[in-house]
Amino acid sequence: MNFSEMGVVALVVYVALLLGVSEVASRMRRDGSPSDHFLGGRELGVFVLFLTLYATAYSGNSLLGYPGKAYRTGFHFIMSTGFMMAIVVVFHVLVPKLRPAAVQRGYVTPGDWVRDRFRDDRWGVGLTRAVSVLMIMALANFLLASLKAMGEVASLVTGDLIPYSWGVVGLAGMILFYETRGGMRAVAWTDAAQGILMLAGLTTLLAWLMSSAGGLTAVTESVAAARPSAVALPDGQGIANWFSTIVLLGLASVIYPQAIQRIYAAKSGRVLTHSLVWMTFMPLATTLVVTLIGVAAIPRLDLASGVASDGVMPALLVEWSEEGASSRLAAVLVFIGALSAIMSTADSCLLSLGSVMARDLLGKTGADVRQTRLGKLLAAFVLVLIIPIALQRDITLWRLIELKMELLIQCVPAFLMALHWRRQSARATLAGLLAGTGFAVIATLSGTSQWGGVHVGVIGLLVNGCVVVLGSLFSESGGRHDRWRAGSRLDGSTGVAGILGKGRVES
Amino acid sequence: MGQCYIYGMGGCLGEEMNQKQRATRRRRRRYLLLAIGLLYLVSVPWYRTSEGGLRLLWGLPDWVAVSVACYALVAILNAFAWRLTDVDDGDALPLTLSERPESSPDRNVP
Repeated sequence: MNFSEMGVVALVVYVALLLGVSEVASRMRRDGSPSDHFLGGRELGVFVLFLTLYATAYSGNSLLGYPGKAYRTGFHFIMSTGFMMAIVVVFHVLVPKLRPAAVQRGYVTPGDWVRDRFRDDRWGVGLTRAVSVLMIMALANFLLASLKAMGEVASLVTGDLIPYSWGVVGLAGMILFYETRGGMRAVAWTDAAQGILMLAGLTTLLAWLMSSAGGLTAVTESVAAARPSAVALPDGQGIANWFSTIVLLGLASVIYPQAIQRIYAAKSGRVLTHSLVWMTFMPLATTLVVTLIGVAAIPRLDLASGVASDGVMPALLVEWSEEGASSRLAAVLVFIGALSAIMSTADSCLLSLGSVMARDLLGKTGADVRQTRLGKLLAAFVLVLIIPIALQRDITLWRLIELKMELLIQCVPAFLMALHWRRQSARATLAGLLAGTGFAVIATLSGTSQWGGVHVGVIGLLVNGCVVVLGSLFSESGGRHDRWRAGSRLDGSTGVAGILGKGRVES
Repeated sequence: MGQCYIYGMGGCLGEEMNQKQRATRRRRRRYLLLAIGLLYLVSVPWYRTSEGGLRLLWGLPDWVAVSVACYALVAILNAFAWRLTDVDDGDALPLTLSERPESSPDRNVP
């Protein structure tokens, strides 16, 4: 059996498995409410929660974009291990406050928090909508990148027996089917299987690369000989970019709607913290591994030959598959692992898109089956709109990630600051969000993505934060602030202010 | 609030000990987070100069090896920090549809 035939068989088996999982998940459904569909009834245990967090955070970008970036920039891209780990560090600012509020107040989407936090502020509704627009744009962007990567991998693994366009359309339809049938349960369970496949595939590929090159020292020496700049210390701008990327991705990634919804979906706070203990080691097992894979490709692939950033990993796998039957099988499995990683991100994005559009943008915050159905319909609508764009192949994944993050990071004050600072007003937060987003968008449109290595999104966040702080300090929010503290407390103890300020609010 | 089983001069001893333990955990967690912040600063080679050519450590350029070591330490300390983190869901069980309070975001419950 040749590589393409093996690829088709593996793809068929994989798709059949996904269908089976979605059928089981569909039968586990309880009442079809938004909480049941979008959060899996809030009953994800440690193992599934950890793997769904993992598979969602590490996506097609991690498997196709990051090796390409490491191949282009060299060892400097070791920073990716730092910024992926920063996500689990920054969760310390978010999780201990947001999770209790989410459980006790019944949040389903990120916007539920914003609406609840600023409920006594007349600018609260506008802020919720603005946050939801940025989140929808980021999710759609993420979904687009994932669809493109799905098409590429399906075409590669089957030797173009399944063309790019068929891969995009067919696999997008597949995701829509199992997400609609099984909701978060189907997504989380398929994520768990996909996470295991991804981890196994990456480890095997790195082992092959290292053993065939004669070990890590030999790899580094051959990289230094092939491209000395790949082992050189980064210059001043590179150092600034390193810090900036850690800030950009560390802060923006915790605001991923799909990540926030997984915080809500955990069975308990203890389950969530245990999952995060495991998550903190995953950058070493994944991002570090893909960086080394990308760097190890430097002496193997000729940069001048015009290999595209996203094509580094596939080129290595194709080379590996030519070494014999067992290598061929292993390469096919890595391809399927990559495909699963991409699909696990796409399905999470799609699930979040539906709920964010229905609840946060349109304000349909009901708890009945109709709201769930609306979320599913909206997700399908967006998917149909995005597919034609995904069929264009000329945008690389790395730029898509950065654009998405520059928008998403502007939502940080509405979450990370608002959870800890009681005086923060909705009006100032909205003004800051508009200022930061405006700055980042104008700079990007004028062709500037970084200033001195610092991302325009990070500078936009500084502008945003200053507006929020000054606006909140100088606004007439004192009285409103007191109303918020008193008015949102339920029976004097379990309101959102009481939950956030446990031990500090007078009872 | 749990029932008190041991009473002392200042009230419930069990609760006092519990509060002390929580305060200790919070303090340790804060130190760990501070150490993580410092490791992040060290992980980026802003303090290094490019003189002396390529030096290998554990098969990697030395500045890369230092970064990897920092991130491995961050992972270990962060795991401890999460084990010391109390995410208190409160006494309330996750809400079911019938239990959702009036003032929660799910206001349109039929």
